[in-house]
Amino acid sequence: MLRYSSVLRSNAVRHREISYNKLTPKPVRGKKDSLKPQRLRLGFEQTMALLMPYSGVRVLDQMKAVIPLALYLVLFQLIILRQPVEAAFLLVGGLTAVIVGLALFMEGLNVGLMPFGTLIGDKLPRKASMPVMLAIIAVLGVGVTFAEPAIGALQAFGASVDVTRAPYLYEILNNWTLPLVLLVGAGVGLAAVLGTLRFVYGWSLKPMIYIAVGLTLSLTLVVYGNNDLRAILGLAWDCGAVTTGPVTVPLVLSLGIGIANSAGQNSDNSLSGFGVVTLASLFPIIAVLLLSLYVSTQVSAEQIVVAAATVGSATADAQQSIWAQSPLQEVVLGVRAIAPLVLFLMFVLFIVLREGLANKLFTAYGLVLSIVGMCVFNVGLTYGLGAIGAQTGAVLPAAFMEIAISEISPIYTAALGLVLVILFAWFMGFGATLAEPALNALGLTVQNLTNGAFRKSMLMYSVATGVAFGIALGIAKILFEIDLAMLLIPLYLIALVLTFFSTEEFVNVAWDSAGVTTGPVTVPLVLAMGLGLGNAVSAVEGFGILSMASIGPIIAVLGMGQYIRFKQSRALTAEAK
Amino acid sequence: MADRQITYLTDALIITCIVQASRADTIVKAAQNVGAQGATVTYARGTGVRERMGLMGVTIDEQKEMVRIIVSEEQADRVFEAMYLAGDLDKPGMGIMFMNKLDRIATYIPDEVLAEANKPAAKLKKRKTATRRPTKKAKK
Repeated sequence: MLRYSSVLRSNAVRHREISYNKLTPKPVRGKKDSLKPQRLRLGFEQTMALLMPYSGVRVLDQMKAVIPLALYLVLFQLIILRQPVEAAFLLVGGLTAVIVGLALFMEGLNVGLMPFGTLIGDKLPRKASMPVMLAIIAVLGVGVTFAEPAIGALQAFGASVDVTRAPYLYEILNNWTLPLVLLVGAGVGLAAVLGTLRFVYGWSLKPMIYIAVGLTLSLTLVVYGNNDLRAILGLAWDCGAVTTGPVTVPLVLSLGIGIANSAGQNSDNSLSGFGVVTLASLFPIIAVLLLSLYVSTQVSAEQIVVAAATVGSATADAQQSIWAQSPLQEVVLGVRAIAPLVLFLMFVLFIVLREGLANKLFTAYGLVLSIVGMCVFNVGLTYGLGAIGAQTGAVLPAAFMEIAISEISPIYTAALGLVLVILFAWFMGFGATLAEPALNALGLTVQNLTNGAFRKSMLMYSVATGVAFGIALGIAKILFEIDLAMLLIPLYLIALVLTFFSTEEFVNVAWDSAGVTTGPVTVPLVLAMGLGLGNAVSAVEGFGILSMASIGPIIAVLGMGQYIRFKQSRALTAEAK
Repeated sequence: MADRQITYLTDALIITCIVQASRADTIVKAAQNVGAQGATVTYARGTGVRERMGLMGVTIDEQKEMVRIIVSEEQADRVFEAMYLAGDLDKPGMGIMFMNKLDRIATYIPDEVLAEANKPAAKLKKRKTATRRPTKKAKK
């Protein structure tokens, strides 16, 4: 009798049998470690077979984030604006660099930097006192800010600011970049410290939000009152969105959670991980606003304009050093971004904690990878994301007004063109947000936390809608030259009111969703587009879109939370009857 | 509780498959496509070839998922093969799998299934009493 399964077996896959005895090591007389597993020698083919799926998945992840967005911009430019894409080959090269750079960087982050984070978070509380820990976390906040890929974008776009119309913005972006990043980092550090204290003592997030937002808004009003400083607002509020990226969030969280766990506080609500992101996106705003006020006491607007004129002519004459030229400049920036963070983490681990790493080889590999990735990403930022964003932004006005670069402009009537541009921005925000992997993760967490009341898809769509409206509003702000303060203040007041009426869970999720939505692909693209658009319509400055994209989802998620509560309570009363 | 009784299922095997994290789902799906009734997935960590390849070890995820599926003897080879292929286990570093005979299984069995199985020409063998080790079916 022949079993059917035997037939299948012989037909489907060729198979043979071999005794495992033949493969296991045999004891050899006189050799002690003859039974110990030997190091493997891998042939070329095996190495490839290992490398292909490993790198394939990681590159694919980044391709999913970059390509649809870039394609959308290019197609919009070709079809709606009927403008050929300039320097297409360079763009493709740049975008490839972005994809490869991000893939390398993220893998380096996971393999190289994260083990430091978890190990330190694990061991630090046992060996150090609370003040020491908080100090370390604060310094770490500065380090991670430097390492955040998107922060390079802010610095890269400084030169495009018109000095006569926004003198202080120009001054800060060109001559105060180091203090700017340091202060933004300090803001993140302070947020991390407060967030950790919140983990440990289980504080509510609401009062923190009231205080932080209140402070931010009043500073905004002060700065708004000063005509020369007014243009800073966009930059300041955008900094908040920039800081909460793929380096800061996991590293700060892993430390904070480690401390909370060992502090003995049974933080039973898994929401305690939230809140750091919120504060980390509010404090940098305060820091930048304070910096701008300080700068305004140091130099007057006239001095800046004069200085900029002399510097401008000086750099034109002077031979630029080879390190200041692209692409070497990007490499220098990349190393400068990662090295301080790594050195600090090593200092804490080896000197303060006197601990070793589990696998030095892997960690070294990860660190090298993250630095290489950062450099490649920076090159891609200049030639890929930045270039394509700037290009589209510059051509966008062709839809409704006459501009030099497009011969057929204005392509549409003013009203239709404006609607098209704003719709373009809306869909870009919507699509880019849905594609953000962090949002998916947040959605799952929220679904679990609320026992399914707040479904993942609901969160994702409400956040995406919020971002979409935010970006559309931000574009409208540049097009119609609306003052950013006039938009931000009422919107944040609405958010505060909604916060007051919402439960703690929703407050946590909603305010954090703002930071989640702005990843390393979206930020440079949106920044570059805003600046390009701003230049094309000769607005004072093109910042502020990101800040609108941050407040959008906060209101959307808080509103959704209210709606769900309303529906639930109505269902309850209906049941009671 | 006199009317409570256990039905032992025999002629069953368990397939265990250990693969890199996040790859279990495709394997479970492939197994279910060829008749597996369910699967248990657990997270695992271990040592093996990864530690012996030096730097190349980074290409293998340290976190593992462990898929366990109980199959009947008839379907065992089919499911085993399907899982092997779906998991790309013929490529280096992807994982390892094995199959054991099970002495017995007990779980809730709906009455109608029981009645069906107890018909004279039943396909599935079910016994009300504990069996000895399953009689060795000669593999040819």
